[in-house]
Amino acid sequence: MTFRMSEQAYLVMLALAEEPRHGYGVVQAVLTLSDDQVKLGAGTLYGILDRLVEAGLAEASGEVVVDGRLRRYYRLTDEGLGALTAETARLRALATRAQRVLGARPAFGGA
Amino acid sequence: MATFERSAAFWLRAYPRGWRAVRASEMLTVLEEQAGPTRRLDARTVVDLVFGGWATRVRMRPPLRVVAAYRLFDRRPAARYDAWLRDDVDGLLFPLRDALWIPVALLPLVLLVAQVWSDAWVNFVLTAPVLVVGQAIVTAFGRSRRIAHLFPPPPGSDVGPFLPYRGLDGVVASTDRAVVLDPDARR
Repeated sequence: MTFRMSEQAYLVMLALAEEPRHGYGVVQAVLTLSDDQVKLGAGTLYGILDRLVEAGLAEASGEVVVDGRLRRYYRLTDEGLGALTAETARLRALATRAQRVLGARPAFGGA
Repeated sequence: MATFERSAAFWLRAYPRGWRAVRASEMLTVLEEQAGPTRRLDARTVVDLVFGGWATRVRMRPPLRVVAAYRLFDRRPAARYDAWLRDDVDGLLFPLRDALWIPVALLPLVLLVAQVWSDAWVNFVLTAPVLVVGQAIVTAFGRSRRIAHLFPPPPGSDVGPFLPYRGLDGVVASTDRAVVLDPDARR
């Protein structure tokens, strides 16, 4: 099954790559990773988690009950780590090409 | 407190029933932790929930071709659609959903008949509701049999169809044996 990699999905995978996290933990980690730009809603978060699990890129790794609330933890599988590494390489290559394009342009305000 | 949970439970209904049974509690935790001390579901969260719920429904739903084969020819969808199938037969409107496909199945026939009988469409439109309601009632009564047919209990499970009593010695105590009078007939 192919996994559609959105920016939000990429950030969720990054958050899970650091350590296994529960739902709200992922939301907070994504907020930090994105420099306060991406605030995931619960619906978006679970859509991404479902898709990651279906594609075999992530898996549930345990449940903890805190104050009578159920927290389920998720972690990245080896396959997920591979996909994340590949996507990061793609983004780096893209950024390098973007730099080259911008570097070739005359500076702003120039004739 | 109860208000928040009731409100969250209401909006979580956007998600399929089977999905909710497994995930609703952990999602409620996220919603509560996100809401913080305000304990309110803001509009953005609600919209996100509704979209997420419908996206989940769309993702779990088999392609139209599979649904049509299931509704019209009773062909069971592949096992990966079991979650959808379970929700479908358990749903309140299942008999109606199922019966609504009858007019769809009859369309080609009506199209053909309409070539020679100009009133075919009018009669079709008038009789279709009766057909649908009738079939829905029949389906509603056969629902438990349908569920047992689609999801047969695993072999060895203790709840199953009623079979003749089997004693500890493994001999089936059939009622037939009581009326066998001729000893030769027992062989």
